[in-house]
Amino acid sequence: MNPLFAVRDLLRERRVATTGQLATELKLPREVVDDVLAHWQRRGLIESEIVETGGGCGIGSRSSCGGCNGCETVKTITADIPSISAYRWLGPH
Amino acid sequence: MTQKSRLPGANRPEKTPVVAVAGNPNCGKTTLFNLLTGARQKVGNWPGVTVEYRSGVANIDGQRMSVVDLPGVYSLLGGGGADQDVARTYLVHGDADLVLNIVDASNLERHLAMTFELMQVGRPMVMVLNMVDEAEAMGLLPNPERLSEALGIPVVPMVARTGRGQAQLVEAITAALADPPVVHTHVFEPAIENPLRGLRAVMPGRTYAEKRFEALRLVEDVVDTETPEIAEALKNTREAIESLTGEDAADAVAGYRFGWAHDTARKGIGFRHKHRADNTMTERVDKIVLSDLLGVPIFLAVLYSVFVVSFSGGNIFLDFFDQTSATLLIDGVGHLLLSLGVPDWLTAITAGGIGGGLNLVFTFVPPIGLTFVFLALLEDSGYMARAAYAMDRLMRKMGLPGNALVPMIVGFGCNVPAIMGSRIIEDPRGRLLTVLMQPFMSCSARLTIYMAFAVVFFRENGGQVVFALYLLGIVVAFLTAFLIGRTAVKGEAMPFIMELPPYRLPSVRNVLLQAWQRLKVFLLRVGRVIAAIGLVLFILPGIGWTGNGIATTDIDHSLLAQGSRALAPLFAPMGVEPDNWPAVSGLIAGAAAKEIVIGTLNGIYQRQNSEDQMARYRDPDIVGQLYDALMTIPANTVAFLSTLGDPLGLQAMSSNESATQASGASNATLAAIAAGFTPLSAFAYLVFVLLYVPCASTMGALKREVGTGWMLFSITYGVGLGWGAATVIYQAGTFAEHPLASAGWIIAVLAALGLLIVTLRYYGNRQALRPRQHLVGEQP
Repeated sequence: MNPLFAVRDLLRERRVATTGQLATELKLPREVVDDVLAHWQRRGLIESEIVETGGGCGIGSRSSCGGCNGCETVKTITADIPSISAYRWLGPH
Repeated sequence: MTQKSRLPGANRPEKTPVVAVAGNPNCGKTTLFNLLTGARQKVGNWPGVTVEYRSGVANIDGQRMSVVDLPGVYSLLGGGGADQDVARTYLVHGDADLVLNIVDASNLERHLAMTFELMQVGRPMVMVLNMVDEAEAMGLLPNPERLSEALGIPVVPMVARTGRGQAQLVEAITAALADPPVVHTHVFEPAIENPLRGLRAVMPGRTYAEKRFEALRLVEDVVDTETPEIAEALKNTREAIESLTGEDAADAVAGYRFGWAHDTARKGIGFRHKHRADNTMTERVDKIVLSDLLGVPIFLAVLYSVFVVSFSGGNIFLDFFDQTSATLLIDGVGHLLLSLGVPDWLTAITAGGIGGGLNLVFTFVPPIGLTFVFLALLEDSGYMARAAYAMDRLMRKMGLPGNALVPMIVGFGCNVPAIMGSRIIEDPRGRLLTVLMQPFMSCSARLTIYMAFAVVFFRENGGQVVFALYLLGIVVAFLTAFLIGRTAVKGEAMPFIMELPPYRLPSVRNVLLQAWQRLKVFLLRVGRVIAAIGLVLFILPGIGWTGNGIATTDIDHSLLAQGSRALAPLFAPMGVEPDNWPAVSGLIAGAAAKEIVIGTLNGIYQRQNSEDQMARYRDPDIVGQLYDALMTIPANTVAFLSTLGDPLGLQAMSSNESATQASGASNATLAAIAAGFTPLSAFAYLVFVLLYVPCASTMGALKREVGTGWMLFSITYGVGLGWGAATVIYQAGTFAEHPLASAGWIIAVLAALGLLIVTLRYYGNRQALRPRQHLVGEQP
């Protein structure tokens, strides 16, 4: 497998993905994926963006839903990551 | 290059070799430098820049040598700040006699990218494979011999921090300085190397390495050129590489480097277990639970187990909770009030209405509490995130947003935060579809109704029935999104953004706390509503339309009964008998909140039985009833153990005894439910409860998130779908009794569904012709 092209192909297919997603699916070290993404970013084929995952904040606040603890569920499921860097494919599909 | 004469090491005394320590940042360069030089160091600045320059003198086996600690650098081609420029310049243009390339063994693949570049410089080199202890702790097995063989240079495993491997390093340095190893300058594949020669030939530079690096920097677009001759050669080189590799030249060159590092790292690092990628627990588990084939079935199997175990396990204590709370809250409170001289009517309201409602709530604490514990367990372990990830692929194939599953899981608790949680989806189309899916998720309020009916009609396989309802909700949610996504709001699903957390051993404290939080909300919110509505419905049915106008009357002739009886024919196709008007009242009241369905049934049935109850209040057998309640635990435990050999509940499903079990239900409301339904009509009723109009809070959330139009659509669609599904189930189940009528009803429902699809397609096509608008807030 060639990491440079494997990451490109997967990102082109998924259109948006995070370093963690790419590293998990391709079984590559995150640092290598970071370097590969830096290459494609420099080449203008991808762009990075910050994605708000919710992280439980503002979802189902007690004032609006009676406090069913749903926000805690979101926090647990999304590992309480309020925002993550994602990379969006800009090149041709 | 004029810069060369000013570089450290220039004008050095003859025969004092220079050793440069080079590598990526944070790989232990300075630690190694300190290890080699001890206190004999000097610190200054690199010429022309404010980057710190550190060099020292090492005395190895009687030989003095100058050691230069270079700033960390990721690539010799470019990038980074002034410090990396300094290191780059020194490594390409300087005159070090030996390069110590230090790499992190726990992250070898990344570090090898620069090793690839260093080797092309052709300078004598020794690799220091540092941090082997950390690599070993990660389950990696560094193999310096195999790495050395692959690279063609000496490789020394080390832990610079502790000095482990120092003697071997000293030996390797001495040997390399005495007899410099020939570094086989790594060449690219011919498809890159051959075209590169032409460009290198026209590049300025003193040495092969200098020319080669400048050529590579041009091909990789790191720098540009204004020299026409070079520009022409560059163009030819790029075109040749592109035609030979099929990739853009810059990508082909970089791709080769990444590929080489990837392959070489696999040679240099072994794994404690047989397969490289499979040796951690997370990876091994993920390989199964995230697989295309097994991911979704595993999720469904897990969900099935949760409900079956929760229901069956909860059943052990269900009768105890039911009978104990009935004894204390109904009979006990009734007796106490009568003893205090409280009038009969007030006693009946308090004990029957409020106490009866609370009795219902407490009855379902064991199975609902267990469900919450298992769901919290799945969330805390990191599995729920995997479930969402596994479903993502399936959902995207259907054109649905994958991360819709996160709000859907929240929807198991309550649909309102699930709808608000859909905000995590950026794409307006995906958000709209996700919002419209949420009302079909079985919230905890519906769980109460399921449990009540399951206890009455499906006692031995109630878990399977509850699972089937949950599953039906999920399937209907998917189909709804699929239908609307393919007709009314056509488009492509945006991808799923979520990082997978590592698997964790669930913390008992977290799981219990999370489950308790949900149970507390259930008890307070659902209990409050059921008790209050029980009270209201205990009073209201006391008036009705008589020949003399509105007057007090018994409940069966009350306004509530008259109104509900008038509407009952609408529900007849789904199996609600005209006499079972309380079931219709429950559905109407349930539009405000699903908890009210069971609260309404409780209020009415308690009222119908109020006279019998008064006799029990006067002469209760509190101690005897509590003892009987306690004795249900061992009896139910035996029953639970006997079902372990039949996890699918097949034996119970083939039994006709389920309905008759209702006669043993201690709770008056449950007994009344048993009298009003058959198992089939009960299931059809539950399907309707699952799918029909969401509660008032959910309607409010829908309006807020997607606008009035889509809210009205969701309500109408839910009622229609619920009625249609319940009717088809009931008519199919009783087909043999009246085949003509059943066929007519089923065909009518399918025709209505067809009409809906055509209407949605028409709407979607009309929207496609209009200028693009925001989906959310549009009127469908």
